Amino acid sequence: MRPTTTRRWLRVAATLTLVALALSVWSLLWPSVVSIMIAMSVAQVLGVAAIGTFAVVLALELRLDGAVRGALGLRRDGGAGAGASREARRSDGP
Amino acid sequence: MNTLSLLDPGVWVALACFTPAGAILAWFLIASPPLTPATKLLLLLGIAILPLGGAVSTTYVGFEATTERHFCGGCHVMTPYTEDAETRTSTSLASRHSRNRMFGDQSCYRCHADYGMFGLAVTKLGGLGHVYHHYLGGYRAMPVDRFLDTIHIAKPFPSSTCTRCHSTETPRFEAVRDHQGALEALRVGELRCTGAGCHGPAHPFSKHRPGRVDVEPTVTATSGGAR
Repeated sequence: MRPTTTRRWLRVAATLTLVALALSVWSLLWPSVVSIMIAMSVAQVLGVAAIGTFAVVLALELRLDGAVRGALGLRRDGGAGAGASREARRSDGP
Repeated sequence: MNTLSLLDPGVWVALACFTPAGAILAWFLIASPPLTPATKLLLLLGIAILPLGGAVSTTYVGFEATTERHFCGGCHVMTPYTEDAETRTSTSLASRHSRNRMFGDQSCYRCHADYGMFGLAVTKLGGLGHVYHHYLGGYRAMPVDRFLDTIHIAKPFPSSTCTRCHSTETPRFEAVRDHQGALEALRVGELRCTGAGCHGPAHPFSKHRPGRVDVEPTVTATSGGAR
């Protein structure tokens, strides 16, 4: 996923969350039939959509991160991976 | 603003979660910081963790609010019922029970809630049906007089709700001769405490009124679930 796409989807998730928060606060400070019903339905749907969007973005980021590390033969701790080790063994031969 | 709601700790917990979450999200949207691991961690707090905590509190507060009598009276067709319950001089069952501290401001819910295993969910689903009928079923524009004449309770009020508090095994209950003869019918549901010949009707408007068509209703608004 390109960085601009990641940022765009994170902005979508943030905006959805902000709207959900606003609706929830409305029901807390000015409780009425309509505000409570909206907070317990629309706001919760928006919140779940935001968390889902965020989770998908994170999952794609992690997968991309893993693919890049795999291609470079790097371990997670920053050291040389399996490919690099093979190279090292070959150079240290008898 | 309903000042009572501000006394609820759930409101403060929700606000304590929502305020930093809103600040984080506003910062992200306005400042557009670089997407470093720290930024993503803050977004995890702002989008997922803090709002989840607030949502739990909001749901709790919301459920509590829906058990209040003024919530039921929020639909105009329920106004006569809630006004009668709040009238201190009324002798209706609903009003007398509303003056009991055990019922108080939640008197509609205390009597009309389903007390089965899935009672809360069943009651809330019934309430959603009321909302549907109110906004999409035409009751919103219906005059109160017409509502009282045409709308019936969805299913007979169960006496088991009464006997949750009023035991049928006390000497005082058994001393009433009518109770002795009616006890078996009461327990199998053939007779109801709120029947017109016994202690009912619970609301003054439940009586048979001249011109009222007492037929099995096809559409109901006041079901066993109060909301």
